Amino acid sequence: MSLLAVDSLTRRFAGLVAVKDVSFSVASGSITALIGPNGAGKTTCFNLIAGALAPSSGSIEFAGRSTVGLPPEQICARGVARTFQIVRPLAGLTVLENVMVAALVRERAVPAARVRAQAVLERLGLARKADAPAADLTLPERKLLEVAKALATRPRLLLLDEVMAGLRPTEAARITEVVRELRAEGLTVLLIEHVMRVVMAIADTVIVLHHGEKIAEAEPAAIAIDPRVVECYLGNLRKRRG
Amino acid sequence: MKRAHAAAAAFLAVLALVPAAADDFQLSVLALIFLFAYIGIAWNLMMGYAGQLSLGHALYIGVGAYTVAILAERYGVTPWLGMPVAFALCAALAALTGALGFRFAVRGVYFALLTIAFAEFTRIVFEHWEFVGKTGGFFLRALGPDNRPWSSLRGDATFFYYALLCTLALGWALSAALVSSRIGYEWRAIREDEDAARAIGVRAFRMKVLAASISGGLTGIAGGWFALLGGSLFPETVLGMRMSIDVIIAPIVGGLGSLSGPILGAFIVVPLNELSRDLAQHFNINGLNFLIYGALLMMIVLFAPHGLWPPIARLLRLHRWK
Amino acid sequence: MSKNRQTNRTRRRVLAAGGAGVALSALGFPTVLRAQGAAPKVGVILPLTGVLAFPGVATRKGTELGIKMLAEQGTRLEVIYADTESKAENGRVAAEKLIRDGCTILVGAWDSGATISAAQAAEAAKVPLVVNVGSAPQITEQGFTQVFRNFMRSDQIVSRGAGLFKNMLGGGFQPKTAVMLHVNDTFGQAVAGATKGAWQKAGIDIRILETISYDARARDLSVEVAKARATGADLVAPVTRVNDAILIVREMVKQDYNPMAIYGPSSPGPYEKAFTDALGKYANDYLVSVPWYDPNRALTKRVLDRWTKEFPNDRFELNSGFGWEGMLVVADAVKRAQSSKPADLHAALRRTRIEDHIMYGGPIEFDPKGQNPNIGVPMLQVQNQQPMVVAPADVAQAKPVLPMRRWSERS
Ligand SMILES: Nc1ncnc2c1ncn2[C@@H]1O[C@H](COP(=O)(O)OP(=O)(O)OP(=O)(O)O)[C@@H](O)[C@H]1O
Ligand SMILES: [Mg+2]
Repeated sequence: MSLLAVDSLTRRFAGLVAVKDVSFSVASGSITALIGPNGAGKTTCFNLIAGALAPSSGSIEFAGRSTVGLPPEQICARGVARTFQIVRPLAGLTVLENVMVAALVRERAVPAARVRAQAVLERLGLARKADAPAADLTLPERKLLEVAKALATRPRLLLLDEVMAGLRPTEAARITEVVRELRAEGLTVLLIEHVMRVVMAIADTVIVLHHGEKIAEAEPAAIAIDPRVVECYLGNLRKRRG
Repeated sequence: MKRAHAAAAAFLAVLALVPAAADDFQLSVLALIFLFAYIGIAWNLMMGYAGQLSLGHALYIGVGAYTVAILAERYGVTPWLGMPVAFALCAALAALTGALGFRFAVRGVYFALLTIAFAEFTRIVFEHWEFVGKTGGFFLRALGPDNRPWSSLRGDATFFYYALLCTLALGWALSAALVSSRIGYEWRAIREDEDAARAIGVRAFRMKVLAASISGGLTGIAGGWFALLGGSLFPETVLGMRMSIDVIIAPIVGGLGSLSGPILGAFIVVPLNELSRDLAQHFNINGLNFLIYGALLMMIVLFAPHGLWPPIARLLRLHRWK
Repeated sequence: MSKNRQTNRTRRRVLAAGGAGVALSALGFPTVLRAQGAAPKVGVILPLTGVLAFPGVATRKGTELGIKMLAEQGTRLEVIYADTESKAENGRVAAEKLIRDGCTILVGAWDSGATISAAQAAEAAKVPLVVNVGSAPQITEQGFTQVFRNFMRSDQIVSRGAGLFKNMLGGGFQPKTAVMLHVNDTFGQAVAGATKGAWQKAGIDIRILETISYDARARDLSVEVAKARATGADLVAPVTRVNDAILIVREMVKQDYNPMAIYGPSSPGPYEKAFTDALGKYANDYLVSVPWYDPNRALTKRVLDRWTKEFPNDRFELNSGFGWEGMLVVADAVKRAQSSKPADLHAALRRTRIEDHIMYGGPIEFDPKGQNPNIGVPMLQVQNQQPMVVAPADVAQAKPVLPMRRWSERS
């Protein structure tokens, strides 16, 4: 059963088609990876699913209902949470307050939201920074804060946009571990990732975008040997990243 | 809790006793301080918390003032009722202004321009509207010997001192409750990054309209006090740009984004204004006051660009509770 | 919630209290001026800065000359000034400050808004307020018991002016149509609004073809004057401040618009030195009816002589005249009251009757509403770049020049 179904999704920017006729679905309780070279249209896909951008055409269904045309806050309320590739902490608030705002979507009372936010920070290893202004965090910490904010909204679908990039291996491992645990608890995850080791280790399905188009969808082992992917993407990547 | 309440009670008791030791002029100046602190708090809900700059708050001062005055003078409606009407009317007006701006995603400076436009538009309407006396103004009758201040809400300096102290206390309490509630968190999230806030479920449009509306409504009540204090209203004075600027100086000097900032700001700005006027009079140089006042404000802005409250809070190690 | 937070909140409050203390001691500054003398203290509230500073300062100069001349006659007044900065809402605080500083009688406040605002404080403290200039009818119609106005209501100035103007009609001067040009502020609207009715009442058979208003901050009135010219009216009736009066005449000269007369039905502008200096010969023949000094009285001549010595660069006019007379009213009340108590001064003001004064009209006295009903309005015409009284005949300094000379015929 799919939680998210995207059909013929297209998004044009002036003179450029960032996402072209993309269709895929994300099974409930799965971890799906969205990969592709820089500028492939991955983040744009997230923006469309999360409601930050409106599709030029195509449909998006979450839990059986269309989300096209809904503002981001309502999509969030329905159970979709996203992180930003370029982190966007609420700089003037403390770390705890950042996460509390997110928790307030579900917990209407401030004290309950505080308890929930503290639990999320605990889980991600950010608890000792709870009272620090978000502006004071290091980049890895900011990435963790992105995840914490998203998690605090108690999503059914979590969209992670390159959260491992720039993290130290121990931190990346921690997030990987948390994602696994969350999936075990029933959360569905769609993640954009360049770190192939991570993708191979945790994804059930991998979708490959190239120039806005979906060129492949398979399980990790199959993707790794798909000639088109190897040619247009992995090859490039191996060359570039060594 | 108990200690805080005791301290608050002690502080209020001190303020309640001030009239025994102060003369009418000092009480009037203190009353003005309370009034400007109150407006500063109201304006700051929108600017300092929800991050929406309004340069047209004169709109609510003016509409509130005319509402209370016209209801009292023409229809014999007690200001006790006039004030809530002013609140409702201004809240509705502010919601409308906000909704129009926010609906069309008018942000930042452009939103500020929109607020100026609404205020100026209203001023011009009032200047040509027979019902409110056009540019000729609107006046309250003199108080009779049988006036009961707490029923007419008009009286001597001591009355206004207490009345505005109560207004400030209530406005502060309401704002404190708001900003420590869910609403306050969501406002600050919008202020920091509206798109990021929406991504975590903050209903930005609704919250911004709410901020504008509460801010406008509270300011409308301040307008009512302007009418009751001065007894004469002119579109140019209560609805003009100068009023819009005058009411935001205190919160800017005190510091945005806190409830203490506007209060501290008013305690500095209003007396500074009086003091510089005294100096100008003492040296018998007309206009010297503007020079002194302007120079002092410039110094404050130079040395404390985020207002005076944050450095003071840091000094007292209150930085966690900006 | 943590205890820490509570104590911090408390500290915040204590801090605010500290601020109050500082503020109060700062405000104690004027106490140095509070040394008690024998003379009662008079508080004068005027717009000394801001948009109204020009007439406000003129009023102050008249006030100062009044104080000086009255002191020489034996009535010493100690005067403290308060500036409203041309803000109506400052009237109240200014009045309270003066009362705090020991003033037992107030004078002011030139502008009607500030006057009413000051009257609230005067009323609460039961300190009399002598209005030197301020023409809104409401000043004496709102039930204030402490207000004594030695100035005229704007509507009355207009109706008296209309009566005078009617008498000037006839012979070669018989305009049939008029166009009004007025500044769109409190005063301009009031006067323009009252004019039509006043003319009807006075039996002036002149049709007002159009009423054109313009913003008080206008920098150019060519469009308005062109519109007025297009009506072809025989009479131009402007209600102005000084700058716009200059702009109007300049434009009329430029557009060669030669009506039979320019007549301001109560308006500052044409009698100001700035007006005659700026326009030279084109300032001449402009008519205006306003309260004015009676040039024939001995006292007026003394005041004018003295004025020329003290302020050689300024013209003695309506504002300085009423500023001067405000002090005369106060000095007279002080002398009769033999007291500096507000209640005694109030009682004395009630019984005011001053025969020998400078402004045109009957003796200064106050009706139950506090209005001096005896103020007169003469007709002035600019002649040789000086405002001259041309009517009524008993005070006229010169004969009116009517119809006015064409712009091209001026020399
Ligand atoms: N708001 C926008 N306006 C115009 N062009 C855009 C916008 N957002 C994205 N694009 C363009 O769309 C294309 C896809 O961008 P997108 O950010 O989706 O790529 P991506 O796959 O996430 O790349 P990366 O791996 O670098 O993050 C790029 O060419 C980008 O420049
Ligand atoms: Mg991207």
